[in-house]
Amino acid sequence: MTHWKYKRLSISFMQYINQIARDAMLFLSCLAPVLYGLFIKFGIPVAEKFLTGYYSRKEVLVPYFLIFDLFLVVLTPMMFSFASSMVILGEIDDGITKYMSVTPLGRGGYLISRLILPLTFSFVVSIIVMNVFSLTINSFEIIIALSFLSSVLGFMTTMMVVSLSANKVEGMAITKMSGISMIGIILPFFVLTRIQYLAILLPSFWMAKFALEGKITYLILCVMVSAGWILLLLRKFMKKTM
Amino acid sequence: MRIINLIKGDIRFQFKYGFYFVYAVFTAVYISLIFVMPQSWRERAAAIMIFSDPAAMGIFFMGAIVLLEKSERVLNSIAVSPVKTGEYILSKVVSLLFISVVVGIAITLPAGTKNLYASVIGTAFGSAFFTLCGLIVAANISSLNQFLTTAVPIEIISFLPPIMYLFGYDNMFMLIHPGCIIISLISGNSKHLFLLLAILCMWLVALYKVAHKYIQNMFQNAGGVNL
Repeated sequence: MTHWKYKRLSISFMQYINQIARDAMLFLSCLAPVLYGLFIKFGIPVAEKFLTGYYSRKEVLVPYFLIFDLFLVVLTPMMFSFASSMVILGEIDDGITKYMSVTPLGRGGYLISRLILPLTFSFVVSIIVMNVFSLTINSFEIIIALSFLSSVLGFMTTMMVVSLSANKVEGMAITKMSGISMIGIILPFFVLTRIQYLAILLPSFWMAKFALEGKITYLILCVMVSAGWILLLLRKFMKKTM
Repeated sequence: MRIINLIKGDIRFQFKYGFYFVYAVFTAVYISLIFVMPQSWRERAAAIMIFSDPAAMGIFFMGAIVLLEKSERVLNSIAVSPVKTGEYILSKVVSLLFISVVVGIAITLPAGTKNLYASVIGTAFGSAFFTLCGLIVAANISSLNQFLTTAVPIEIISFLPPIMYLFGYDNMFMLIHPGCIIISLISGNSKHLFLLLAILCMWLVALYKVAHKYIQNMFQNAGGVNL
């Protein structure tokens, strides 16, 4: 990539950062994982102590600590994905996306500056947050893998919102619906029979399976399923912004 | 007649943009969750679900609704039409109240709430409360992210005390908080009903006045920054 391409991308990315910083969304996106991290690191063990005493059981929440970790790892990319979705939806409504596609930045550059770069940033934040606050995951390699998968999930969620909605209101409705795709995180913990495989099309399901069993096959499946969805949605987005 | 047409228009708009579809799916999810819960949890869980979602949909969607109306210049048309500010607000409140109440009833019935009427009244007042809050915020923003970050503190103030109230911190003074009254009604409590409704009405009138002032300003500057 030439120097000029880098410059275009960095200008477009800085525009995005300025936009979300002005709306305090950047601050909120970084603050939310820290607040949630503090909650699980200090609040959950206290809750566990109280609940084990109350129900006179050896453990109540411990088997589900990994679920709290998984929500922690997806929180940062989801916040950035939400911020990106809202910025892109606003720009689609205002016609800016179409203008961008005929500038030297192009549609590809536009998507990189609004999606790939923010999610790369969130990937780094996720790694830091997981290292500090995770309850169960100590392996750095697993943290990197999960942070990568959660960034891919964030990418898919944003693509879902911006490809399937015609305007801000539809975008908000789809944002709400996209929350259901996160149900895959809890399924392997609660549905122990083969019925859980009804969720094979949810990347979050494979991410949870990977976190639970550590098999590389699940990591690959998560990437493949996400890639399938992303390609499908990307094609739709490209058609829409032509 | 004008107000009926406005409400019909808003309902049609909400249907077209998928609100009814989204809430049909979410209602199915909520009902499924209620059925897998132990009987003793159901009533409280249903109250939290109704309070935090269908009743609070105004604070989630209003930013997008008003911003879309701004960018499509609907507000400019309304501003020069005979539609009054109060009618615009009422239309938004009633149209969202309709869907909130329908979803609320659908969740309440399987949860076996002891007093359906109180629950419906609570959901309706909750919906009106959050829609007015949403309108106040929406009239003062220029982007969706700005709406979200402005709405978050309101959501924290509106949601935390009611959840504390529902889980046992039920001091009488908590019932000055509109959210506590609403969640108490949604969970089927009809004790001191008229007093609680009188307090809620005072809150709604105060919010309406604030919303009216901001929406009127918005109409006067119709189009805002997106023009």
